[in-house]
Amino acid sequence: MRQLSAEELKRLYPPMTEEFSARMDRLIRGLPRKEGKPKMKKKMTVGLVLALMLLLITATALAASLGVFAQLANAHDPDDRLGDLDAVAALVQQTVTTDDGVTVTIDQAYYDGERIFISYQMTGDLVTVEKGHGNVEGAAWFNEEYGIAIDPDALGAQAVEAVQDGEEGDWVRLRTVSMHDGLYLQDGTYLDIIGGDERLLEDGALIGWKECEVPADRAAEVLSCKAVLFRGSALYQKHDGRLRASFERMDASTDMDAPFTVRKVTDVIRLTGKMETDVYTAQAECTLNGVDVKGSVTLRCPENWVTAWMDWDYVRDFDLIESWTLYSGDTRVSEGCNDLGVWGQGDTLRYEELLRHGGQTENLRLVPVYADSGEHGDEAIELKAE
Amino acid sequence: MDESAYVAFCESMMPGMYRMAYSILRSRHDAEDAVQQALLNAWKYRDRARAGAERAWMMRILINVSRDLNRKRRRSLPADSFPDVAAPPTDGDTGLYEAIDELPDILRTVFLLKYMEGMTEKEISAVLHVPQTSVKNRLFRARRALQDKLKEEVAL
Repeated sequence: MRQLSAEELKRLYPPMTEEFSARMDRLIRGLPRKEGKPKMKKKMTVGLVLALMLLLITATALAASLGVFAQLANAHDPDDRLGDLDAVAALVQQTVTTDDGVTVTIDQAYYDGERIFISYQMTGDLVTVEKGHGNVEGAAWFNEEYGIAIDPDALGAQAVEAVQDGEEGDWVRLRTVSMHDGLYLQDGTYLDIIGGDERLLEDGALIGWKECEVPADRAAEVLSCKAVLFRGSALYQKHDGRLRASFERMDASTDMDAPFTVRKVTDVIRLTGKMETDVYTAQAECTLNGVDVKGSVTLRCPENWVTAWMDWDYVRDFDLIESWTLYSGDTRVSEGCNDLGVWGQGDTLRYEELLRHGGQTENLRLVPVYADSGEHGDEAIELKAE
Repeated sequence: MDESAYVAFCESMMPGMYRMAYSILRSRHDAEDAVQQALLNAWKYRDRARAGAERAWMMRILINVSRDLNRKRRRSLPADSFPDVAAPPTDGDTGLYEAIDELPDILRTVFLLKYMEGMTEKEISAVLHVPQTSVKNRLFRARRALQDKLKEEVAL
């Protein structure tokens, strides 16, 4: 396995010349200054405070009664599948606890033969904080040149922000327990992650979900899987007015498995369809499960379509098929819930699509959406069960 | 951001901005133009930078400027007058460079922001205005495409 580092990647690109660097330095130091307007702070009324407290109490009570998928769902996003997943996923609630009291619960799981979705919760001391000042032995500093940006929602973010606002030389070391991005089969086969997210709750618990791909040759009716917890250490120090960081992953012997078993659901349907126009021929192959339609549309088209697609920017100036919208009859169901990508070679474009169906699974059609002219309903691909 | 903070911030960002512009425009001259224009645009709109998200904000400006330059260049110059493939590296692995350079722009940009510039998925999501799930997905596709091109597994 080849190990790539940021430094190796940076060496691939030429550095700025000293002349250019000096010219830019003069430029930014000589920019015209302008006065900023002072911003007024809005006062909060007692009524507004009470209303917010009531809202918080209600939301907390509601969250406690929902599955983890549903707690993470975004009701404002019509293509968010997490609410649907909450309804169809099997309850797993398999819990393991580490020696130092971190508890991981695999809450729900869903497996359609190609992908596994899980939701999970982690509680306990997910982060321990050590503070200090001055030299730190053995640190391998990362991104010293422009500093580290801190995600304000991340574990231990407040302690890192305190260092950022503190004195030169201040440091903080966060020792964390985290879950690997992907999942594993029990024999160690890695299931690469397609999507997912985590959220830190106010009580310090962390909830999350993952969507991982199962290699075709490892698909089975029942899969024994595991999520893997690992321990890491992140050191942040204020240096030259910026934050620098040094990351260390603890020895793999400190990893811990959170095993679970998941059974393939039975309501999975293979759908195919074709379309031929004067310009292209299209072939769609999809899988419909309890929450989404995932598959591909392969287009044989003029080569300048492929050239345009391979250039991310040029696509704006060229009216070609940019994506596909899912319809059930005349009802628009989804514009796509994830950006799986488009691949081009020669005279072929392959669009990989992931579309939420929201329970509308009759008379499904894929309607092409052109970059300039929008949807072309007359070029829809009718999807039929195999 | 006050004046001295803005100067320090720009100085710290420039090397990464230059690398990213070069990866899009594949020309030293154009990358320099893009960085200069991005710094000017950023100064003009510096009140819009959200505290804690300045790096993503600046990189977004840079990428937009680079994309605009790319479009203008394609409109104004004959197709064979600018490089489709950037000059090979002088100090790095040519095979790796070509494998990355051949990735579609949409994957290469995400890949380099994450693994070369050390941005978090949340930051990249802000840079490109796409959901974090899309960032994860593009990284997944980029890693897989790179492994196919290099014919070996890649750990990052």
